[in-house]
Amino acid sequence: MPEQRRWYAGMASTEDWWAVWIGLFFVLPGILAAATGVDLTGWIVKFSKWVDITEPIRASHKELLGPGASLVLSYVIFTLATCTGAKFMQWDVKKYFIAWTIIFWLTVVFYIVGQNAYIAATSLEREKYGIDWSLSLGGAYYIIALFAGLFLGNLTPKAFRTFLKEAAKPEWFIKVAIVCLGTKLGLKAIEATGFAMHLLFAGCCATIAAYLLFWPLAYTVCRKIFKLTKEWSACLASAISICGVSASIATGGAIRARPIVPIMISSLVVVFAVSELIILPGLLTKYWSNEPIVAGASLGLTVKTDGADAAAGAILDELIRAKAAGQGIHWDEGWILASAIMTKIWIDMFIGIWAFVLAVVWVWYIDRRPGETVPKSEIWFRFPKFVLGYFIAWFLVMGLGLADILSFESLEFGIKPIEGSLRKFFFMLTFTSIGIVTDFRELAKEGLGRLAAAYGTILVFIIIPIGLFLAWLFHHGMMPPTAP
Amino acid sequence: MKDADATNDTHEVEEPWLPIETKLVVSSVVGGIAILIVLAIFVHMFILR
Repeated sequence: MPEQRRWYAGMASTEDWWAVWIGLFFVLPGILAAATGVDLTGWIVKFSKWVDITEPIRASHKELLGPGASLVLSYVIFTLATCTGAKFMQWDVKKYFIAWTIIFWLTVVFYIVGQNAYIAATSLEREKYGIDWSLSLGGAYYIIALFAGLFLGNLTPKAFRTFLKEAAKPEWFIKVAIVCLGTKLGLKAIEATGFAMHLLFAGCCATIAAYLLFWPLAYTVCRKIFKLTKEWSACLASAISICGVSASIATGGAIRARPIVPIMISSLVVVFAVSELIILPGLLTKYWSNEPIVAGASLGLTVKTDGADAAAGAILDELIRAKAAGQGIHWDEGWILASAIMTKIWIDMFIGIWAFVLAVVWVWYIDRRPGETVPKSEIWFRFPKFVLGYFIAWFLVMGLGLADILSFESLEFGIKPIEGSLRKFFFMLTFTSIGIVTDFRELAKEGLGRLAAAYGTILVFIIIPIGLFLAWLFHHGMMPPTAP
Repeated sequence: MKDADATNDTHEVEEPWLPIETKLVVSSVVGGIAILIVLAIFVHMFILR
């Protein structure tokens, strides 16, 4: 019999709600900054590509304060925010603070390493950085954080790695990042005009069709061919169909999966996304350069992390435009990348909707014992609350912009550091933490090989072919504007 | 309630396929195909002219 709970139960004591509060704690000053012109968010530290070690760090608004001050202030404010949450959630705040401090500064190091121009610069950027070669791995900082975290979580002394887990909270960090992601969607919706609006709309249509087909097919393959349980199948199907790590964690919450399930799947998502980043742009350039927007949109449907999708889109943009330039066609820069991002944005939107659907199905049909009645309120308790923060942030920014209450430029001034610098840093914290809490001994017991085989099979035989078809169906014939 | 540290309740334990899973999968595929057709027509009429 479900226990009696008030609708607001957990608002001050659960990780889910504290992701909403911390997310909005950063979003609201962004909106206030947009309304007043007072720079309340420009202090947030931003990491950029570098060849000179003095270059990678700066404030989001570099005229506001210097790199060192920005980094220290970011540490202080992020620490205050998360320690407040830890206190309310009745964690051991002293242990959390020390472990958080170690994780924060290690993540800063991983981020800086991953932004090195020899690793991250694209071929067109090499001249800007004065280098002859680069790996063009724009999203590599995530995988560096993941692997470094795996090292910390598996190969350091047991007492140390156990201590780090006090503050290694991947689900919490990514939920904060997802609330901030809402502001990015709001800005994109305001910005989209003309061809961009067509791209956004076509991307939305492709995405609706895609995720309704991806999820059931992926789920069926997991259950019928790889014989995975419902818990693993639902989280894996959401991760590979919708938006990777975020969807896996949202689904895990909706179906009450054990924490290890979305964590393990998140590791797979990152590894496969980087593999796609390396392979797909070259293949698409070779075989589909006559449909550049289709090629870009297909990345948005098939690459399951924002970073890898944007990096793959940037590489594809360069490769296809360079090939077209050789044939005398000069497309404007950025539109192929935009098609990748605008499709991915819509996929991100479905986290909340699908989490709701799964919560309903699991509460009423799968977890219910014969004869047991389950109140409708249980759906509310299972619904991932951070998704509310994400929708609030999205509609607030979009509403203020579309109603002409605030101009796009002022919103961008206040919100850009939140949706860019802060969101990416919390993603970095997420990947470091995923590595730390991922215990290979546990993974071996759970059978990582079969999960990886399931993920790879579904990606190659379902997600990529259907993604390519849908991208073509909804974008064929669209061409980027030519360069002025 | 599942134990967060349990390792015996993993994907290695085969669970029977339930009728609700069939409903969920079939309704999603049918909905996906129906929406695909409607939106494809819409996009071809108004965007990809």
